[in-house]
Amino acid sequence: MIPALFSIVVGVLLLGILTYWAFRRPWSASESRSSPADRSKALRLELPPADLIERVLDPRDLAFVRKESPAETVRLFEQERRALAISWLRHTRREVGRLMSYHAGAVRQNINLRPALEIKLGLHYVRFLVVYELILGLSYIRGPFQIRPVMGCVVGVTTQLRGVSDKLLGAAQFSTPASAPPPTQ
Amino acid sequence: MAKQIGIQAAIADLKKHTLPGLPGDIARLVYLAATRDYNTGRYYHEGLSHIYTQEFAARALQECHNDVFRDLVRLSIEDLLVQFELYVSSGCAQADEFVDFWEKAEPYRVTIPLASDPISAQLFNSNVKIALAILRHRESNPRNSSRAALLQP
Repeated sequence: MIPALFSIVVGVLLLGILTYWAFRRPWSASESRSSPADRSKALRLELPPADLIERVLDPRDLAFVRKESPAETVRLFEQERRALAISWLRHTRREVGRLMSYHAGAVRQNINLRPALEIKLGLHYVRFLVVYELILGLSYIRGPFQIRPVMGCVVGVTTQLRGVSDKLLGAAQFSTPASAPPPTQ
Repeated sequence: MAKQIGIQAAIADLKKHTLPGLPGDIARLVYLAATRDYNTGRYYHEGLSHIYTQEFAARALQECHNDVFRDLVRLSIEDLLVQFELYVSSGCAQADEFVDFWEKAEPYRVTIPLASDPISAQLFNSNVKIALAILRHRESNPRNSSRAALLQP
């Protein structure tokens, strides 16, 4: 008798838990109401301007400083340029990291995942990390002006990564009934 | 809409009457940064506020400040040096005195607009530091410089 009662209690408890899981909302109310544009705005991705790194590593500046100043100023200039290139890279890395964390948080609550895009995003992120580490290492070993030709890779991978993430966040927006667009009149 | 028109009119006024009278972009940057209150970061301009409103004048000064800074950050070291030579030759100070003070007190750091991104600010500070070092070198070795004659009274 007691084992049967125990089984019934456990069964009712399990049924209760399953019912709660089945009927809970996949998105919180505030998240489901926000559009991708709103969420993108809330994210406030602040990537450093891509043209600025061209300016930082402009070889004409190096040629001019070499021509016009003593060796110590040239050394100072190279140190400053290396610091700037590293700051630019780290800033980009930080922002991409923020984008990935935000994205991970958003898709965790989304029931309709798009595996192909998820894998693509993951691959872009891994590619970004590899390129970032390689260029960072090169800037220490070869100096800032030697990394100029490959800096475009960071900008390219970051743009691709952002594009895929935008697609995913946009898809997540319309995957739940609560976040469907309002009917047109 | 009316607000935007007011701000645009104040910007046009600044760009037509006040800024062209200043010798180069360094002078413009210093001037515009000086219209910003050190304690609050708000921009003030008596004449402009009188014609437009205080709000429009402040926004116009802020916009012009951002524009001048953006232009200066994207200059090559060579062109930045030309701007410095123009500024010094306008008679604001003796060249050696100017370089001494700017290297020690680094007043250029407070001329950066609040809206600028950290990398632009870092690039500007770095470029000014290098330009000052080259100016100092030219001062001590006038024969090495093709532009040194510009600095002579």
